[in-house]
Amino acid sequence: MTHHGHANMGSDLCGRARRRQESPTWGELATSVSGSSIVACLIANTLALSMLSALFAASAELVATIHIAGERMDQGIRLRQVNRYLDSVLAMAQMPKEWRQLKAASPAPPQWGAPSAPCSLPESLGDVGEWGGVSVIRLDEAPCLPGKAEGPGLYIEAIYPCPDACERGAGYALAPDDCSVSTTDDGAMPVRWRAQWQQSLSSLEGCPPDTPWARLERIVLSHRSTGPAGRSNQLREQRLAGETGTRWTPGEVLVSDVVAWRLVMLSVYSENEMTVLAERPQFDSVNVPPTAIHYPQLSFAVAPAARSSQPEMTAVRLLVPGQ
Amino acid sequence: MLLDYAMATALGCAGMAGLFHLAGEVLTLQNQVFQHGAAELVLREMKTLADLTNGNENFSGICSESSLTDLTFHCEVLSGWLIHLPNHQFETFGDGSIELSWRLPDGARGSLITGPAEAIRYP
Repeated sequence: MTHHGHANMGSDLCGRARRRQESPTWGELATSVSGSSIVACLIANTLALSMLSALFAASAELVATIHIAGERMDQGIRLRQVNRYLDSVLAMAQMPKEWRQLKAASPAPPQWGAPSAPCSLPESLGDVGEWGGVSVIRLDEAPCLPGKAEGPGLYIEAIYPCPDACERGAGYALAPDDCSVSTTDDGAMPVRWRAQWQQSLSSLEGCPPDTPWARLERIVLSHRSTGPAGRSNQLREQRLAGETGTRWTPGEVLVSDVVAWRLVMLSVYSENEMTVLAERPQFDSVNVPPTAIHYPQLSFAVAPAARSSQPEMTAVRLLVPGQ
Repeated sequence: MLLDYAMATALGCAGMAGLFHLAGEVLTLQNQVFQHGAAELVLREMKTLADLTNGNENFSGICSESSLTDLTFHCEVLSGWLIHLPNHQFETFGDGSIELSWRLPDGARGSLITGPAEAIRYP
């Protein structure tokens, strides 16, 4: 009996222990096998989730800031692109210094030469003392330009000295009228230059190899709004590229999303050692207006990409020749 | 488990902090490039106007010149760009060079110079 009793008692203890292992109580549930409680896990989960949400919110702000900065950079790059292009073209809008007619230093501000009419053929102009120049033209008054552009255009006649700036390909070559050049004591080069069309600009045709020569380019910069309600605004470039007739290339887009294109001529009057810069200067009617020097003033704005709240970037330039 | 969470969170935070730092650097660099572009634009026009107005290199001086009647728009645009250049200062030199300096986003001072001194400083 006793023995049986002991045996029963032992089997009861073992059974309880087994039951405890198989079905833990609620209090035991709160303790995990790895040593931390479910409450601790829940707190950790909550903390992690709240931290993640905070990080996501901060990331969203960061992404938005970077996006805005990227758009601004894009505008800045397009603005710089226009300015660099203008710098490069305007730097060539005069005869090279050593080829100019007058070398005397003058206190007067530098001025652009008057370029030949855009619709006149260069070879028909004969011998000219100095080529090159910048002016503002009305596009609807230049019928040789393809397209139906209106408004003002910046017309540039550029001179690129050869052979450095010349390569194969057709174009207008400028050469001294009798293939020879002479220099006066004061360094001026009283030479008249003629333009001739060549199928290749790798060398000058009809003159000795050491003759100075250049490539003549005519460029018109204009602005055009296309699409419904002017959704596409383009700064376009056209070049004279024809042998017969006054053939100009169709407008090539230089930079898009350029708005508020404005081109006016400002006049500079040196009066009593004071510079007067005005678009429409007013003078005393008794006095004869002094001779003015004209400079194009160009302003434009670079718009942001579509669906952007960024403001436009406006630039203004007074196009004055380098000395 | 808590330790694992803590480690993962710490790693995540460190990674994000690194990303933020990198993004901040990129933004600072972008801002500096933008400021240089603005300074270049302003300085070019300033030099042009100064040459035309017989060496009047002071920006406010040029823009308040009564004889320059049609420079109002010009000056408004340039003033708009100068807002992006905090603490900007113009300095003129005897040879006609003009230097524009301003405070960069990182606190240092940046500068651009135009004219003959430009060639001397940046041969």
